[in-house]
Amino acid sequence: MLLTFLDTDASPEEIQEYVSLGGPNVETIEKVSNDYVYDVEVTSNRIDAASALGFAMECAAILPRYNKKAHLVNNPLDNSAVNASHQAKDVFSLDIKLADDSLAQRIMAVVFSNITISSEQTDMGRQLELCGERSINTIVDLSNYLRILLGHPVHMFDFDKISGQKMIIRSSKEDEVITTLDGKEIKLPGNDIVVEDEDGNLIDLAGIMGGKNSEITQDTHTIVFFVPTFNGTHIRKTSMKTGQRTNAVAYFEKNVDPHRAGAVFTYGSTLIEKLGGLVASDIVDIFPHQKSSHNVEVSVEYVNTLCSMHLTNDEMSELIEPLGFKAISSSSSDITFSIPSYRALDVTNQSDIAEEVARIYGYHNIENNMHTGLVISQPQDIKDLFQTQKQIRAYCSSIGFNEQYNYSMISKDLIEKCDGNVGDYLKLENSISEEIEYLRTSLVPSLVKNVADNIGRASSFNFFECARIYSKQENALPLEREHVGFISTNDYFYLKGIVENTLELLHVGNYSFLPCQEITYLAEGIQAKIMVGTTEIGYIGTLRTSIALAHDIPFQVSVAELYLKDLIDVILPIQPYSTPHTFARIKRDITYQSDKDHMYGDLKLKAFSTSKLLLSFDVISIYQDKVSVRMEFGYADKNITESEALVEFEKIKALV
Amino acid sequence: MDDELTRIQQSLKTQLSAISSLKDLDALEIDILGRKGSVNLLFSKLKDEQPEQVREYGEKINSLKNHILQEISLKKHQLLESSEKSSWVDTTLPGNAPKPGSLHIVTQTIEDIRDIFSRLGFIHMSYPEVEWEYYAFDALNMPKSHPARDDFETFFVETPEHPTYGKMLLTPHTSSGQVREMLRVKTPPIRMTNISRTYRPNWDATHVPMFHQFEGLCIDKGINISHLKGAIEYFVQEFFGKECKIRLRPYDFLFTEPSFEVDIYTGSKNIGRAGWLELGGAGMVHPNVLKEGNIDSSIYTGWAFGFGIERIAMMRGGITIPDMRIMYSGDVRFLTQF
Repeated sequence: MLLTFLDTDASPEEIQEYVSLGGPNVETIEKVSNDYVYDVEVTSNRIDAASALGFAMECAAILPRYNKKAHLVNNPLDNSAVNASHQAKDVFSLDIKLADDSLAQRIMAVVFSNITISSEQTDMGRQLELCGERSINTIVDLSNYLRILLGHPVHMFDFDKISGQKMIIRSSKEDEVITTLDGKEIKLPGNDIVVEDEDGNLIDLAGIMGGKNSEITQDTHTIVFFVPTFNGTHIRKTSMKTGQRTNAVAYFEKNVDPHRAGAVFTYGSTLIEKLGGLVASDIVDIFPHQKSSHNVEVSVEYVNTLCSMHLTNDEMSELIEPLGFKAISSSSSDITFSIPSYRALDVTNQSDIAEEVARIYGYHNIENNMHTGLVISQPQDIKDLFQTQKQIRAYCSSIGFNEQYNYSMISKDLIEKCDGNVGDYLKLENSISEEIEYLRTSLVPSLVKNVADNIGRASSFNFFECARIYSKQENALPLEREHVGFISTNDYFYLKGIVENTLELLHVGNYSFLPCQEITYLAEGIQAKIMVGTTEIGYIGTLRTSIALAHDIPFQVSVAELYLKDLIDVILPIQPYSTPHTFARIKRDITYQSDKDHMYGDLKLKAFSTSKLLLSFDVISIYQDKVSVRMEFGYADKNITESEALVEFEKIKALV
Repeated sequence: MDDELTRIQQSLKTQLSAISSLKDLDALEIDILGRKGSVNLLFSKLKDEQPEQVREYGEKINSLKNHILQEISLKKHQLLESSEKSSWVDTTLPGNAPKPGSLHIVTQTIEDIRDIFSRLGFIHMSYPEVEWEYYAFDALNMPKSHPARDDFETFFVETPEHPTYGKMLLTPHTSSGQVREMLRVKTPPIRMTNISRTYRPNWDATHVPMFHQFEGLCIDKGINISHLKGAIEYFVQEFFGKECKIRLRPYDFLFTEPSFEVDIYTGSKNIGRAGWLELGGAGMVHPNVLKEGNIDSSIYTGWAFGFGIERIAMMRGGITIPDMRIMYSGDVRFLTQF
């Protein structure tokens, strides 16, 4: 197919390698006997290249850059004059109406008689099969062959099956039904392009598939050779809504060029005539809005600067001329190009032309440079966020926690199992799974699921995650807050230790734990808010047993969550430093009964505010409900005496 | 006195040789050198001596004391060393310190990328994951009819449409940060990297509905394709190794013109296509996009690229993960491998 239009000395491997560097990507080439099958990936904006002709044009432009010979030959576009020479004696009238201009840009058709359908394997059929398509019969094969060769879908109707020799191209109503060539009965969504005959039969689901009622069969002698250019948006919508996706759809939805239809028509007609077909009607050509070609003016300097090249205006024109771009005026500083119709939608400004020039020139010929420029500063809040996350990650991963990455969306089931209410969550309209429907407002449920999912794979789990939560807001994007979530199968005090160490490492100011009861998924007696002054920076607790069981987690788990923005706000800007004491310190121990009126956090605060000489107040042992604390007393600037220490000790003893 | 001194010195040798434990040595030390030990006893007897001999004997006692200290110290060392030599330990048994946890492979990859680009003067930025259609598509020169805006290509949030910014969605690409950054900085230079969670409705062995993308954006006077190539090549060589090469091939993105697909060659001809693997997309920022960012495209130009993080993380590790879904499955056997 390719060699119909291309004269070259390049091998298929060379074509694959070189063209892929400057044009459509040749994914694979396969040798089958004496043929080579090219599998080419064409981007959506280059439907003009999705054919042997289009690809040949790319070859003609690119291969010479690698010192290969390559010219276009037999270019059908050079002869797009609508013409069909072999006339039949008996002529029919073919009446085609386009009900609405917006449905199609151009409709071309003609009747051919003296058609003999054979299912003997032809060369065209063989080539079609190499391209992965079914060979059906001579005429149907010809239509598919034309599509691959020239990049424009065409259709063949059995003329005798069209009532009244009349074709009306109109928009469908909702629930109209058509049976397509593959035998499927399709109920139409409405606003689809259909072709109807005089009796109201739908003979074509336009741009998608022909109707079974006008199918080419062994008995067909007279055909309508139909070359339409349908409105791509319509075709795509119908295709999506009905789930019918065919090769024709892939072309029309990307807007094939109506101006090229003429050449396709002429070429196709010639092929049909070769099979013995005779022209048996006037040629129909409905082309309501022909566009004259447009021009693009380009600054030579602009193109050279953008692409880091040093080409002259003549060099630029020469590079892209084989693609169909003609320089209608050119100076050393500016060029005006006339844009071929099949690139009209894609090439509209200077940067588009620059791209054409540069890709043919060869991106590998462009040097590599590094930018220079002013130093840019990062916003402080982002700097702080990344720095804090880095520190948290470093500590937690080294101390035995595995970092998790969970989906930002969770299921209704998980929310409810963790005692939440879906009403608080932002929901996805079109999720593909129940598992990922609601945007998280806390990291804890996902971490609980992580533990549940991993049961049996290890004897204990320690996970953490640094991620965002999404808080609904009225008439605005949700508030996205960075959190850190922790979960551990070790006990509350273990996790509390980890959290405390984290806060210490970050130099968070004086934090305290405020026992609370309102977090419903945590055990009533084992939960606390983490406070710095009046700012809440997180919480910690043990998961309620009923919730753990609901997840089939057979042991206790502790969880914690930190709110990074609030935490960062209370990080001390300057780390407090105190010179190590060289003066004597006196240690005294005290044991108290732990209960709701005697909690360590409170006692510690009170102790420090009662005694100015207190240096530390640390738990040394806990036995049942008796807590033993070691206190150190001393002066910064002189030695403390036993009696002074005793005085301080008594003050604190009184509290307890 | 002299006799005493000699007796103590001589019996020391015998006593020391009979000692085989540190405990016994300590006891001996106290016996001889303690408050009530033999040496102190001698000091107390000094007063019974002739005045002119007190000094001489004092020195002799001190000298004996130092000798004893030395001998005891020597013996202590001997005892310690021989106990070391005689006790046997299987030194190949597993160690006993707390085990470290792990960082997710995505975190490690992100950290490395940030480092590499900060050397080039890029700042790392952060943008909304839940975005408006406007920033995700319209501002990026993608019209309403573009396939990417279909239901099956993007996740939409169930919430009323905004009169100006359109529907709310989960961003399908990090490019949604481009115009936001232009509006934030206002006047170039702009050099930013954005690594973020991105979302697309696909969930099978090679796709996950949430993944990470990494965007680079560089806008200034005189920025052209050679700068794009230079920056990407620098990144690729820092990240994958000095032997790596890149190449650009033509592609089509609506928000860049020209657009490219970037391939990398890591050195082995046995992977990808003759050794070339797809890295991601790139291009020169489209003038329409600059316009949305209130940047004059006649003065400033820019380049942008977008790569998938999971992909390059696996490429670097030479890891083949047969089923992508394990990335975010939470499986501890996956996590502990990094």
